[in-house]
Amino acid sequence: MKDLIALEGVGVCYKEGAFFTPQSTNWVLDNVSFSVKPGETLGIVGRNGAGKSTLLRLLADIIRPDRGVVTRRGGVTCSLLTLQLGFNSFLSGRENAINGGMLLGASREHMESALQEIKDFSGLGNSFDMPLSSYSSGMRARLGFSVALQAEPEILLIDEALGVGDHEFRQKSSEMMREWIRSDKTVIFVSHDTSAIGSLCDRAIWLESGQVACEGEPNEILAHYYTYDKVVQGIASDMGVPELAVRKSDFGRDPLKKLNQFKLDLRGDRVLEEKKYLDNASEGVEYYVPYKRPATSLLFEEECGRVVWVEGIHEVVSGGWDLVDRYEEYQQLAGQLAARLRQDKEEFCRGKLSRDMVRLLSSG
Amino acid sequence: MMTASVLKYLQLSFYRAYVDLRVEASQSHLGVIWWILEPLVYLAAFYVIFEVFLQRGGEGFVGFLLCGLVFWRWFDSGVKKLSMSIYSAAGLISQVHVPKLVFPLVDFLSVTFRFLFVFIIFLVFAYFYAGELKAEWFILPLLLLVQGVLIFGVGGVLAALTPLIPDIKKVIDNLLMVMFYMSGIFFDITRLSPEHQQYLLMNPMAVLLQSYRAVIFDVGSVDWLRLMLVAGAGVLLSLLSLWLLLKLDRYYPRVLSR
Repeated sequence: MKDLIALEGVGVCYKEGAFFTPQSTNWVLDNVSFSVKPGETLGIVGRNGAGKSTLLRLLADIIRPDRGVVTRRGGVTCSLLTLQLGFNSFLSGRENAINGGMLLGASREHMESALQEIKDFSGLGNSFDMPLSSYSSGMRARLGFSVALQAEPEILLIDEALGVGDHEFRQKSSEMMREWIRSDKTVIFVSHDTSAIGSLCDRAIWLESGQVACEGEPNEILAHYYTYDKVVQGIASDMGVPELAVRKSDFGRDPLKKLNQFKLDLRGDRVLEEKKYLDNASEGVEYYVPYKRPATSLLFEEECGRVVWVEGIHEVVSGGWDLVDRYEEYQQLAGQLAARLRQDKEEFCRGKLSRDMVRLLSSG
Repeated sequence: MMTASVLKYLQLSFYRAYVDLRVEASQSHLGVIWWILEPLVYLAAFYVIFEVFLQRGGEGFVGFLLCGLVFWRWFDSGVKKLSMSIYSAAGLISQVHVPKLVFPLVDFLSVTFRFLFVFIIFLVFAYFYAGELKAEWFILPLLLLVQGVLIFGVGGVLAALTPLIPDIKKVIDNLLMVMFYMSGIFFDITRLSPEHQQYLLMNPMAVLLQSYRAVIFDVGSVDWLRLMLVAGAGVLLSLLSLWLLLKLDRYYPRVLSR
């Protein structure tokens, strides 16, 4: 199927300083390329400041790139899901619906004819003609969502972090967003809750320092994302520098390549049985990362004789070679415990009990 | 396709102008009455100072003053509101793409509607004040058009530049204040020496106010040449603002979202 939208070598740069005397340029996005096919749900992961919101603005055609091309299939609209676009609390639900829908690009006639549907979908009843100031958070969320639905963009961009309003509003709107993502609409989804990306998306992109580190099957991408996170954390704490410094350094230049250099081991927790493999490892820093298994990973820094043990997605321990024995011990214990608890071992390794075990074992 | 989207955004502008007026009316207890009250307060203040204290007003001062205030208010509120139209829409601009021309247009429409409301009441007053309906009044729409284009031109250029150069905000209020005193709102420019008149009539609002008074109250005459220059300047500024807003359309979200 033909792409709805395609980005090729796209870069966006912001100039610092006053308008007439820009002091420095900062490439927020650099050489980004990917495309979106009809009906798919694409997830975007990346830490804060990786360029996610800039990317969304670019896709929504709010800004244009400084480099590269964005190609849209003729007439394809791509808009950011905004739940309270132009809402004013002095206006009635009806007026806000017309105003919001027109801002999203719908015609007045379209919005007028959709009013009944919006009223029904939002379940506002007689409150529809009351000023918005009298609405509860839930009512606002429902109205906002019904309006966004009616504007019917071909591609919907969802930034879950953008959810404004109180806790109830965010919860309600988040539920509705997920409902929509599960439908067969084309959606690009950004969330801090990466597990949502794993469960909702068909494909994911990992954005790191303004570049696409890798794209592919969501759980695979998330595994890379987490592993890299742990590696960066480990290096940062070893060197006593902030994480951001590691990400911005040479090390962070090509994260996926770095991870590949870590010699991905496809056999998961058999890493330790393959000590020969370790002995033959080339010079320099080597890491071993079980592939597709974010839950149990072991990283070796051979040159320094140091080991970084990553367990679950929360626990990271570093130490000498004796950590390898602790690791083996843990694997056995974890296997037994998981069996006794009738849990999947992987599931067990992500749990709280496992975290406590790792702490206990690693401290000797 | 092109005309369809132009039509769509015109619809949007009109609706937002309506929304703007609706919100303003419901935000205060007196609502619409404020629109009339405002020029009346100014009128009372200036009347007391010039007519009662200084005894400088002369015959027909109330009509003269009110005429100046009503049309000045349109220019003043228009330029102030338009100049901030894009800057204050920062939130919207970073969430959705709307042609930036819409924002000054919305503000122009709402300010102009508010003015027209006051203007009609003023015309009724002028009819009783002058005691007759003059044939010259048919020129009024033309004068209104010239002033409208001028407001859109000045306000539009400022709207386009304020997000890039925030310092403009500070300058505008002061400049408008100076202009207020130089436009002959509470004094008659034609009473000054010809040399001084020349300088003051470089101010487009002074030219317009003189024309309004000539048409409505038969004071002095319309200076057609200067009026044409004002119209020309208004058209040029409007075109400039149009060009700037189209050119910088996708640049504003970048500066405003920081």
